[in-house]
Amino acid sequence: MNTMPTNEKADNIDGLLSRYFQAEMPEPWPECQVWSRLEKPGVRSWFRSTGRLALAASVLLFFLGYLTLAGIFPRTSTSTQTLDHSQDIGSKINKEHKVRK
Amino acid sequence: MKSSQKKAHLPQGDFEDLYQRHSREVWALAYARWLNAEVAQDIMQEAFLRLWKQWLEGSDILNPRAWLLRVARNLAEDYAKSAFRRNGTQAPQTMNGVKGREDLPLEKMERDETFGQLRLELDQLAPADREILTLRYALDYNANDIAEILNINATAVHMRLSRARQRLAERLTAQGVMQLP
Repeated sequence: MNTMPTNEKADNIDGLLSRYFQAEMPEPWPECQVWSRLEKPGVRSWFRSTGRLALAASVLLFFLGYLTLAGIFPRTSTSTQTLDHSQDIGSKINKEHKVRK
Repeated sequence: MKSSQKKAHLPQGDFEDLYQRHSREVWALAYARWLNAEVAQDIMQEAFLRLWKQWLEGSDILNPRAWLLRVARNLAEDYAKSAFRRNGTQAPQTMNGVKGREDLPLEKMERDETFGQLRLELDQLAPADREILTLRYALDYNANDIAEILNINATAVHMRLSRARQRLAERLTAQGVMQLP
């Protein structure tokens, strides 16, 4: 058990707190960094705008590519081919059926 | 409250004076929130940067000191949210007690250990009590100065200071810390 008188305790905690907080204070005190920090957002915004530009260019290229490919391979020719095959198959069976009869 | 003429009345030198007058108070409030000197320094610089930007935009800030202290408090709270995102459930000060592997002189080791325990106890106090203690012991402010900054009366400062000191003394004595340097 601690037997220290209350006054001594108060002196001790006062001294301890003073030493602690004084040690935590930056030494030497830092200079104002406002102007050096002001330059950083400029760099960041440049990156941001470049990134946005790259994204917009990518989307544009994607659509151009899509349209070009759609022009080379039109969808209608594919669907017609499929339809023709089914007609062939159906007609073949019908022909065989007629021959047997 | 915008004023387009404001920009012309703000020389850089005046802003430096403002920084010299109030930066320690701003640091103290930020430090009281996190008990981390580097974080407090970062918050302090950010608060001044925002003040400068506000003035450049022509905002009419009548009481820069009060504005800075309010912004520092808000920034400290915002830091809590971002720190949570970065570190999960552990706030950065949790790691403050962890020591590096380099050999330290015995005296410094003892001091660091004492300060580490004190920091843990300070962390248990209410943020308002930590603000009072920081202003009292880091800046050597008296009760009236503290009352003015925190917008409370001097009696309340005395009471909170006394209570916080007593609590710290009891807990540190129980841990055998008070006899150390």
